Amino acid sequence: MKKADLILIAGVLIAAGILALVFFLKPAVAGDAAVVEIDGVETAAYPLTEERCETIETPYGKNILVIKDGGASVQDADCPDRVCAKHRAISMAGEQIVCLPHRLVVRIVGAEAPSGVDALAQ
Amino acid sequence: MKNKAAKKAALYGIMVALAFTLSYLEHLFPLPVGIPGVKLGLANIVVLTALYILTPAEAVPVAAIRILLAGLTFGNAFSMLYSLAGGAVSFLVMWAGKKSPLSPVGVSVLGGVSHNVGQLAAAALITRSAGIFWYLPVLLAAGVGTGLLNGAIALPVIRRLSKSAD
Repeated sequence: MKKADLILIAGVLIAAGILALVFFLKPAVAGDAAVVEIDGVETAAYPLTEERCETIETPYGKNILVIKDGGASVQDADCPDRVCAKHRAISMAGEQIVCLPHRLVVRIVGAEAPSGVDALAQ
Repeated sequence: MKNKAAKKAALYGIMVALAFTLSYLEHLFPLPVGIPGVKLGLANIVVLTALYILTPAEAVPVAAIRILLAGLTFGNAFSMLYSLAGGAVSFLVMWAGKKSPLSPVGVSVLGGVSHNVGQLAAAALITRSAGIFWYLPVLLAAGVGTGLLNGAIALPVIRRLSKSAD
């Protein structure tokens, strides 16, 4: 380990810390609806207040979206890794579940505060 | 001359096999951290070593063949795409880093961090969702950790192999 190594490590960790502060320390705002995006195109939006179970057909496979108790989760999927199905339910504005193999994003949107995600996307 | 070629062929074989085996081990025993995309990246020990004891151009096939083999045997088209994105970015960054005052450990950290950034960028491109960059802080910190580990393992290997090189 040289001095340059330590400077690099400290630099990356500080950058990660600052980004984490910016991203995660925003006050959490309960969302209103779950928006479904396939290939970056919004295909559906479901209010979080109504319980439902939807099968989302993407050109790459199926995901089963469940809305229950004011939160959205992916109950099951036929993608190879099923990372999306293991994700906990989301309910706060800006939270999202991503299924990379199916190019699917389930995102919570809120009417009041624009999420950090949207700010980033612009 | 002939002897040298044979030696090089054997070295390539050993390195590709080692990198491939390390990838397979990681595939068998994924890290129980629950964060998608976080893994040790042990195969980078071999790529890093290749970068130091061979020329960078000679290290490219070691990295590329490892990713192709791993993708074909226990991955899928998607995982291979992300591996290629991460692998290509981290290789170029480590190559540049080798010329800097960083030690191999620092270069390994650069590799770990840039690998994660490359994969995340590929994921953002594919889903066309910039929101994925929410994962960036976690993956940056994880890249430092795994880079340190791999660098610490690779450092003595590089030292010994550089001495025995003719």
